[in-house]
Amino acid sequence: MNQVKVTICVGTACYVLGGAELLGMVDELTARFGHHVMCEGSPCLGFCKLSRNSKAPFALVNEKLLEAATPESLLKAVEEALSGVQNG
Amino acid sequence: MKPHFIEIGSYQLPKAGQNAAGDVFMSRKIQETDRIISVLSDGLGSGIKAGVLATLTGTLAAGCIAANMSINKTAKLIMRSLPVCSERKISYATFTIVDVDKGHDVRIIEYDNPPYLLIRQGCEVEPVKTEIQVAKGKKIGSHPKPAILRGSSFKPQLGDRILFFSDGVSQAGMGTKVLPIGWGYNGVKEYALNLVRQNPDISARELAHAVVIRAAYHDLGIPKDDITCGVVYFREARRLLIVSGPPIHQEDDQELASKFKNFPGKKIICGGTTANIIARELKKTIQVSLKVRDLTIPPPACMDSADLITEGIVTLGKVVEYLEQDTKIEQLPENSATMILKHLLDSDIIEFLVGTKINEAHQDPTMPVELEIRRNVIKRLMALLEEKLLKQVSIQFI
Repeated sequence: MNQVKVTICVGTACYVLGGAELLGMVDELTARFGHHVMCEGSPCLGFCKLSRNSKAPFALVNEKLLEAATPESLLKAVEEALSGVQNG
Repeated sequence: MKPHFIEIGSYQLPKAGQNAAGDVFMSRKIQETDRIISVLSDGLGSGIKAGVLATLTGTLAAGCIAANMSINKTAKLIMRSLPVCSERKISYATFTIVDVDKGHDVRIIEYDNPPYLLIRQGCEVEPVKTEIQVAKGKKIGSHPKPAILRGSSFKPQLGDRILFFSDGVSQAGMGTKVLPIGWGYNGVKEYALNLVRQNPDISARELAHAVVIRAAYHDLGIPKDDITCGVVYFREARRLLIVSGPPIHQEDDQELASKFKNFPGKKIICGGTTANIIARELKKTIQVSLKVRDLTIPPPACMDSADLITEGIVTLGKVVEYLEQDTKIEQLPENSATMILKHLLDSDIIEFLVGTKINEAHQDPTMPVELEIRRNVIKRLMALLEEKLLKQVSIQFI
């Protein structure tokens, strides 16, 4: 089975706008999904500089971009991605 | 001959039950004459009262020596100035003054502290000491004998260390079964020499810390006196580069990466975008550590050819806060800011390479915290490094 890759931005804007809470999810994702999820950090994904309307914190679940990510939205996106992997 | 770099480190534990130490260790760098003066003073008794005596002594000693006043005059002035203890009816504080001049000649003046230890190539060297008698000023009736000061001077060699400490170190363990008459000067000496032989590059800070912790161990973890140790270490300069911020013009990205790559020393990148630029230019990969989990500070990252990568402004702000609060590094949480601070403490020449591009996302008024302008944080950090830690600091903008 393929892995779902979660990338959490730990750049300044993301971190102060809630990225720290996303990092707090790493243990939970690993506990829930084991090796089906691989988490990594990124020094800066760069999305904060792209558009004024984009909203930090950012995370990537495979290729899908999460804006204003929260632990809940991250978990949901991972579950969706996993079901997609399983169905696909 | 290129002058040696002088690293000064100290560590202290107050007597158990006292909030303030009665020993004082202080260092001053006299910019105009390029001199460094370190003083260790142990005030009579312990706690605040002893601390006042020691602080007065240390400040006066450093000030007088810096102003080229003779040893005799300095000692007299100190003895006349100290307040008389209401219980013991005497005024008293010991001192050891280490004065390193521009040509790196060392002069040491000692009064009633345990003798200093000069370590050269892992062995003890005993410089010739001359006795200087100084009449005590106040309360002459209660001080019939003159004070005996000991003066010595020598030309330091690369790798020399001067270790000096209060009697809380040499008397540690006194009364215990293992060390009934205390650790003793020879015990301290053997311990320090062994440490240096086992770890020839041990920093002044680490050596002073190790000696104090060992003394506290002999006191069974409950210091019976103030325990203070200072170390002056003559060695080759350790250089550190801190790169923070992207260049204002994108075409300078390559120059930034090349300066980073070619720097002869340790290298830290503070800033995600900056790290990405350097990684891109040098074709390297960055890995963020998800193991260091202090949620108040973004985690560190690593990359081949960098000694440390951290987030920028929040982390640097935390480093400034730690330095301003004077927190002992051993008591700080494990996070990126503490890691930067360790590198700063262990370096002598610190160079900042600061990109001046402003990240617009940081100016967003909806940010929950106020993010300072990078240049201001670095300016504050530089001032602290120069004034508090006596580091040689420079900055270059790109």
